[in-house]
Parts: sequence; C-alpha cells; structure tokens
Amino acid sequence: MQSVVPLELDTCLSLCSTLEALLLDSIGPNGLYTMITTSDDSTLISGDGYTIVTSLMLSHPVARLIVDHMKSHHGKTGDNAKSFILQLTEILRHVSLKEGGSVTCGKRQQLTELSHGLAELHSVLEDKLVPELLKYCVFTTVSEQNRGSVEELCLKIIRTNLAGKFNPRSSKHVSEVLCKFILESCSELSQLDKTLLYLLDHFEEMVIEVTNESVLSSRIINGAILTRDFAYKSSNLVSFPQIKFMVLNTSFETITPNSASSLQISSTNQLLQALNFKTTYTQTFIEQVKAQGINLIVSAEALSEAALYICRKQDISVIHMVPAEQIAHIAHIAQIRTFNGPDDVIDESTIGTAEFCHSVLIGNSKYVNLGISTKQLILCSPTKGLCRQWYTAVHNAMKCILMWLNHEQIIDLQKLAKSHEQGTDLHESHSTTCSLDQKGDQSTELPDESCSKDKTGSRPPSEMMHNRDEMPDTNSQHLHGISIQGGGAVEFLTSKILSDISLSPSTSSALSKTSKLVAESILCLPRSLYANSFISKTAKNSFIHVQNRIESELSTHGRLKGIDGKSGRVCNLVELDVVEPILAKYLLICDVVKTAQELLRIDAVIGVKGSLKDIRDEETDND
Amino acid sequence: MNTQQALTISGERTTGDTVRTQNVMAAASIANIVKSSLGPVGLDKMLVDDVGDVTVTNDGATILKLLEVEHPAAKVLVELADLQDQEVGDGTTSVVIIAAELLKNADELVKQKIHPTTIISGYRLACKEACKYIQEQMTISTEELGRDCIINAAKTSMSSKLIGRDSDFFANMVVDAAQAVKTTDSKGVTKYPIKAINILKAHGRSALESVLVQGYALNCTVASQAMPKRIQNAKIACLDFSLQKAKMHLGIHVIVEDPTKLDAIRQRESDITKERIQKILDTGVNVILTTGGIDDLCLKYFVEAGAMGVRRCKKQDLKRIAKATGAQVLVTLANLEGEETFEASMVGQAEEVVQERISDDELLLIKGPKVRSAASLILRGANDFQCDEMERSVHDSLCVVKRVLESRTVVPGGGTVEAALSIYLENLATSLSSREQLAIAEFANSLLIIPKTLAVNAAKDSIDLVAKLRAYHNTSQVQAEHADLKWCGLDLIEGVVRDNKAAGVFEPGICKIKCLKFATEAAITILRIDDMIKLAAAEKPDGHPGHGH
Repeated sequence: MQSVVPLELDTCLSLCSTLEALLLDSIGPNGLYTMITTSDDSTLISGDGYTIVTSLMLSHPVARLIVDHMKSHHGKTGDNAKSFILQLTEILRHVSLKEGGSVTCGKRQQLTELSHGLAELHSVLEDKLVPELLKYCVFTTVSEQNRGSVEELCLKIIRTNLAGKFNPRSSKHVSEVLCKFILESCSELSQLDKTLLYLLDHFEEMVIEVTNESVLSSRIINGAILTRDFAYKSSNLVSFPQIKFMVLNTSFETITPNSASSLQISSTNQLLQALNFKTTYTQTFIEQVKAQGINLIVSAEALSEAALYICRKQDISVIHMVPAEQIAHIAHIAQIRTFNGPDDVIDESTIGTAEFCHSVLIGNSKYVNLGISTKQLILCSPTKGLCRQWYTAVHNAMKCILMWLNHEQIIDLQKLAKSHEQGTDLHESHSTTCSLDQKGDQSTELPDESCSKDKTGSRPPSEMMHNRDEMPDTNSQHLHGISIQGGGAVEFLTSKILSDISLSPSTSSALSKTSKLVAESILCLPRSLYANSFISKTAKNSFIHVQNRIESELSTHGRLKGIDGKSGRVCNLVELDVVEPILAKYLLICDVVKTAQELLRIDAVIGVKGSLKDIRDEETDND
Repeated sequence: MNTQQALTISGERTTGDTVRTQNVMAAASIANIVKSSLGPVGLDKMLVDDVGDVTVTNDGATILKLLEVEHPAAKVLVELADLQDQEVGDGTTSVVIIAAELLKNADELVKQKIHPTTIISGYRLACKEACKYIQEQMTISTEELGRDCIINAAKTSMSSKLIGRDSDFFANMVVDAAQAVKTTDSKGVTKYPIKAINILKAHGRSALESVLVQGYALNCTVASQAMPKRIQNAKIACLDFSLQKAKMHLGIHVIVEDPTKLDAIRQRESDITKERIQKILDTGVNVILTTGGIDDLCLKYFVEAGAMGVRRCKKQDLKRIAKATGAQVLVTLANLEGEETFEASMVGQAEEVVQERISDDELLLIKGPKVRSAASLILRGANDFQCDEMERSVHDSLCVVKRVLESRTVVPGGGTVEAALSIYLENLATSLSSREQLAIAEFANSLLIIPKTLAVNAAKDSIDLVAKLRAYHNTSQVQAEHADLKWCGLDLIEGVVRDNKAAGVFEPGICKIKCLKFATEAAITILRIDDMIKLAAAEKPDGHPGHGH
C-alpha cells in the first residue's frame, strides 16, 4: 500500500508558503506585478492574485485543494484571492509554531484539538464577530431618493476592488464607466441586486472587448451592439423614427424536409419549376415580411445571395450571421420571440421596435448598434491579454457590488446585534458616533432617519440609539448596502474581537487557543499592506508601532482606523474612499477558518485507481 | 503426453502458516488506513485519483471502495465494507476494524498450536451469543424514547463527519425527510424507501441553509423565458422522446417529382410534432418533462398554451417523478393499435410546480405530488468538496434513520455494546470446558478494539478509559443492583465514561448485529484459507475446439 502517504502539517505549510511568496509583493495599491510566461512564449503581466495562482501548474493534491477552496471563495466574492492564501498560510504557520516545528504522531492529536477549536470558532464567528463588525459599518439605503450617495459608494467599492491591479488612471476611468453602467442599467434602484444578477448572468452579451484602443476610451453605448455589419443597409433606415425588426433563429430558406429526399425531374417544364421554386418561396416570404412593415431582419444564419437580393429590392435591411447568444439576448430585451423557420407565422409577438439602428465603428470593426432598451459596455485595451484581464476584473467588481447588497446572511443577525447592544450601552454610544461620523464624512445619508446632519456636531447618544434602532425595520422593505472601510481596518477589528473571545473566561480551552491564533495571524494582511507602502521602515515606524497605535485608538476611543496602502499612514480609510463590502470580509474569515480546519483534519493522502468522477457518476446511475 | 505437466501448477503456491500470516497482515493494513477515521474525533482522508481529482472524506465505505487493493484477503475486507454499506449504510469503518482484529487474534492462537477449525467454531459460537445478548439485553425500543432517539441516532452517525457541527439541524432534516417518504404496503408493513429522497447539491451559502423540500427537486429549468415559472394544480406529462420535427429513419429516401411536394413533406413533418403536442395539451397537461430536446417551434406551442416545457431531464429523475405523481413515462405515443394517443391516465398530478433560484442555479420544484409523497434535500456548502462530503454523510444518516424506523430499536453507541459484550463473552468463555473457550475469549478481547480506537483517535488515554469502562460493565453484569451501569460508554470530547443512554448516543441495533455477523464471517473466510495458489495468466488456447465463439 505505498499509495497511502501520511500528510504532515509541514507539507501543507510549505505548499502554502510557496503560494504566499508569489503573492506577498502584490498586496495593496502599491503592489508589484507578476509576469507569467507560458511554454508557447505568451506572457501575461498581472497583479491579480486569482490570475496568478490559477495560472500555476500545481502537482501536489493538497495545493490543488487549497487553490480550489480559494477559487470557490473568489467565485462568490470576486475578490480576496490574495488575502485568502495569505491568511491561510499565516494560520498554518502559527499552528506549526505552536506545535514547535515538525509534527510527529503524538502531536497529531493536538492538531485534532486545534481543528476542533477552529470548527468551534467558526460557529462563534456568526454570533460574536458580526454584531461587532456591524457597529462600524455604513448602512446605505439603496433607493431612488438616495441615488447620489449610492452612486458615490458604488464607485468607491469598485475603485477599491480594482486598486493595485492596473494603473491608477485607467482604473479610475473604468470604475467610473462601470459604476455608471451598472446604475444606468438599473431602472429602479431598489431592484439593483436583481439587475446585477441579470448583468452577471448575461455578462458575455453585455460587455464587448475591443483591442487596439486605449483603456481610457472604454465607454457605454446605448442600445445593443451586434458584432456583425449590415449585409444590406437600406439608405432610408435612419429616417424611420421607429424601426420594426424581427429576429430569425433559423434560416427561412430551409424548406427541404428533414428526411432524405430527392427531386426527380422528367421534363423541361419541371426543371424550370424546380429552379424557380426556391426563389419564389423566398420572395413570397419576404413580401410577407414587408407587408408587416418590417424594415430590418436580424438572422442567426447566413442569408443566401438570392435572398439578400430580394431583400434589397424590398428595401429591407439585413444583418446576418449574428451569434445565437446575441439573438436570444435581443429577443429577450425586446420582449419578442424569435422566428423559427418556415412553419412559424409572423405576428405581433415576433416584431420588435427599435429607436435607431446604425453602424458604429468600434476598434477596427464595424458593428451595428440597435436601439433597444439596454446598455452595452465597451471595454477597450491595447492588447488582447490585457483586455481579458479587464474583462475578468470588471466581472469581479460586479460581484463585489453584489456582495455589498447581498447580506441576507448578516441581516438576520442584525436583530441579534441589537440585543447585544442593549447590554453594552457605553461602548455602543462610542461606536455609533463613529459610524455616524463616517456617514457624515462621505455624506451617505440615510434619507428617512437622518434628516439633518452636520459634520462636526455630534448629537446626544439617545437620539443615535433611536437612529440605529430604526434601521433593521427599514431593512425589511428597502434594499440596503453594508460596507466597511478597507486598508486592514477590518483585520484589526477582527483581531481585537477574537483576542477578547480568547481572554473571556467562558470560552473553552480549544476555542481560546484557536481564537488567539487566528487573531494573531489575521494581522498578516495589514502587515504586508504596510510593508508594501512607501513609508520608510525605520525602527520608529515599524509595524508594531502602527499596530499599537491602531489598537489603542480602537480600545480607548472606539475609533476604527486602517493603514493607507500607498503612504503607510494610519488614518480613517473612509476619508480616502477605500471601502469594501462587509459580507466579503466576513466570508473571507469564515472560509479561511474552514479551509484551515479541513486541512488539519486530513491525516493521509491516498492514491486511488480510476477517476473519482466516473465512480461518482456510476453511483448515481445505479440507484 | 507429459505426465509431469498435469501435476504441476502453473503459478505460485503458498501454504500453511505463511499464507495465514500474510492474509492477516493484509487485513491489518487495510484496517490501519481507516482506523483513524473512526469516531466523533476521527480524521479525514484525502483521495487523489489518476487525473488528480481530489476528494476529502471520512466515510469508510468510500475510502475502501476507491482503494487500489490487490491482495485477495484485503479484497475480502473491502467487499465486507461494501456489503455493510449496502445492507446498513453505516458502521463500515468499525466492521473492517473488528474483522482485522479478529484475524489478528486468531493468528496468535494458531501460533499457539490451536487448530483454525476450533477457532472458527469458537468465533461462530461467540458471534451467535453476542447477537443474542445484544437483542436481549442491549436494545432499547424507540417507543420508549420517542422521536428524540431517532434524531439522536442520526446525530451519532454524522458526529464524525463534516456536518457534525450542525448535527442538530441536519438530524432533524434527515428524520423529516425519511418520514416524508414513508409508505405502508397492503400487509401493513411500513417502509422508508430512502432512495426516493432526491439529494441535490448547490454551492454557495452556509451548510445551515440547506433545505428540505416536500416534493421533488429537479436540476433543470424551463426551456423558454416566456414560460410561466409557477403552475398551481400541475398536470405533468413525462416523455422519453424528443419533441422535434419528425424525421424519417436513416435509409428511407423520398423521391418527389413536383417541387411543391417538397414543401408539403416539410409541412407534414412539422405537423406531426404539432399534432403530438396538441394531443398532449388536449388532456389538460400544463407541465411537460422530457428527456430529449424540444425545438424552438414546439416551444412556441407550449408558450402559447401557457404550459411549462422542460427538456433534457435525467431519465432517473423522470422515473421517480412519474412514480410520485402517478404519471407514466412514455417512450412513444403509439398505442397497440398503432395510432398515436395520449390519455388522461398517463398524466401525473402535483399541487404546484415552481421554478426557484437557489444559489447560482435555478431549480424546478415539484411540490405536493399526488400519488406518493417525495422529499428532496437541497444541500448547501461552501464548495463542491464540501457538498459531496455532505451528501455522503447525509446518505449514511438516512440509512441509519431508515434502519431505526424499520427495526424500532436502538443500542447505545460510544463503545458501550462492545464493552458489555466483551465482559459477557469472557464470562461465557470461562463457563465452557472445551477448546472453544480460548477462541471466545479472544473474540471478547477483539471487540475492545472499538472503544480503544475511539479513545486513541480522541487523543485520550485509551488504556485507562477502556479499563474503567470494563469495570463498570463488569459491575453491571455481576451485581444486579447496578444493572443500570450497562449503558455506560465513552464520552470522547471530555474523555470520561458516562451513561450513553442518557447522553443520547444511539445506533440502530441492526447495525451492530450485522456488523458483528459480517466481521465474523469475513474473518472466518480468511481464516479457513491455508493454501493460496496464484495462477499464472492463462495461456491463450489456440485452435482449441469449443472456443470457436
């Protein structure tokens, strides 16, 4: 049985460290890029953790397991790929230190205990961490009245998400465009989450990649873009105030039966008839189309020359060979159904109307812009590889916004948070002030509750309590976004909360051990953020000092501060517009803890014959 | 003729003690692999396949099934685990560990010049007595303890798994699911066909957001956006053919003289399908599930009729849906007379069919089927690994719940039964004057491997704990006033001995009995072997008569 290999903690740690070493320098807005070269000499330069890690060829199964966990986390949040690996490595490192280097058989049991402690910690996180975190969060009602502040916050979140991955000027431009795109696609802001889901589902149709143009020329275009040119464009197409169009899924010219058939001709007359048959058919069809007042045909399949000729004669514009996905997308937006070949009938449900339809030049290609009620995002970039990166980055940024809105996991807990608050009035008043201050800073006003707000004046705590108490009620009707400042602030806060848990006398020994461990290791993120900043690292400026300052600020004044990734200053990151969705941060901690727990639980790697997938499939077939 | 040839064996031959020792070692090495995954604090194994796919699991049956095993004795053990998995669904790890331990101890006895047949008969006797003892002394009726004990049994089975943390939640869900599919046949026998419980996995969100749906969940969506997403009082047709333009079979060639006839043929082709759809819709059907495709034109007819059309369903799902709703899965519309008909009796009914978004996917839920209740579990987990492992754990728990519900008895877990049996059998052994005495004593001793392994895995002092446990059980069996001590078992989190009946650690009695029986049988099978012949690969018989085909 040489295929059974015991799994040592050191192996996991060294695998993680290798991954970590790759990413360490690319953390934060000052992060450096990594160049990836493939065997066929194509290169890619990226600062995106996900791109870097997933481009690696990993041979060790544990490494693949770790990366798969990271992928699944990234898939949900669209962010935090680097932080995930970093924190996981740090936790394993601390575990290893605690156990004093290499782990022998006897120590396996201590690992088991730690693994159970982590599991326990995971269940505690929800009750203890979330309410504390929520105190420092900014709540934004997403509704039409509040459009301005929603827009501002969206922009900030996208910018934070894109920071460090590309050069600042293009990130700024793209985030502005993207923010506008998201908000304009959304007719009613209270439906923003649904709009985002729709955009993410139809991302490929909504976003068009264009190479050989500067990133700064990325823009939004009204109406849908069909990535084909006109096969025939009628000269007076532009003159119509409303263009009636139909979308064809299959060609209307396929009039031969499905069954194999051949035509037997025995006379000249028949030959003529046969020759004319198809043309006559097409002609009748197009005449029928014309009779319905249709001026534009959008077809998925190619139209024959003859058909085009007839269309030209009837003055019907044609766009053909349009990708099937775009056809479906257009049909969906225009709320019409596609026309399915000769047996279908043309009626109201197949005819759509567009406000305009004209050729546009995008990049080097000529496309058609069809004026239906949708928007299209054009992402420009000098090279194809870079374009792809922008494409994924934009996709991830959208997920990030979704995370900001999608907080069902936390919303129930808010009531819980309230019950906690009543117990700790003193602390509460501090933190409320803080969160209100933040709101004042960026003028994200809550329209109903906070009627008047002056930036300097702080109101009596009682009123604030009232203010906060109202929020959960409105949550039930309105869509809310919950965000928190970035720059390691969350990590400092989490670290503090976890150390409090570990010190509390009521916690079990395993929990106390692990929460201390996680509290220490979570600080690796601000540490590397600080290390990558421009500040001169003298003894006076060492991370320990910074850590001390932030922690004392937090415990004495209840003010949450973070590290500015650029300058290395300690400040309130909200002032610098570094904002992150809280759910993503919370999920990060949860997922890292879970992964670490799972890794500690594994005691052997077993090689098996065949493929696991096959065996799984077999099982489902059998029963 | 070479007479020498007929007597020699074309292969290797091993005999006597060597083969027995080899077999025992092979069995032990198999047991060693799964040993550390036993119990509430057991560890997981990571399985890696040829292409590098990774699975992390704690399930003994899964690990052993995938192992690359060549040794015949080891194979017996792997098959043993599989048997236990099929018969009971739980206790796969323990059955392997016990069998290996029985073998190890038997080997010791053989080395002390006790004949294997004596050991075999001793083991048989011990097993019989043990099963009798479990049935008479250790079982607790579920009526006595109520629903709680069923939930506790489910909790015990999942305690070692990934979902052990949330065992309260999942145990309730599993019990509800099992009860939802309860059927009673004409003889009044209630059955819990847990195969009728459909388990779907969706990643995203936490495990606690898994849901139990009273009905059937189908991992498909409606074929067109324009179709309704919710239909009350659904009438369901299950079809096992595509709704596409009719097409002549290969080899049939149509020859026409008039080109307009071509059009007529085409027209007819699409009309055939249209007529079929019309026949189906005429019976009031508003949900059409098919294993094949539905082409765009046919979709149009469904959309116009306000019906739901679902294509590319799995055949397996369709069969179960048909069973639950009372529909018939139709392979063709043609009846015995050769005409195409669709009758109302082929339609299944359900209270509601609705498409809901769960995580990233949309699922079709068939709620309140008419004929037979169905249940579906939608498991949520952080990623695919977790979902897969959850599915395995939930399946095991379902098996346990089914066994408990059907047999109506439970036994306390945590090494209680094994410790009690070991004391009982030791006492029994001393009362016998034959040679079997030694074998029975060894059998008793072998059973202690379960509490021992449990304690070792939990990082507790196994010698101390097992000694204490035995002392309690001895007291309970010797002194009648302390009979209550027979429920004592291990608490592996705290590392103490406690009353496991009060603590609610239960396993189905049938699981323990089968486990002992199977382990004994497997041990005996291997023990009986005293000669192993490994044949060389057979030479190809060329031109041999009778091999013509």
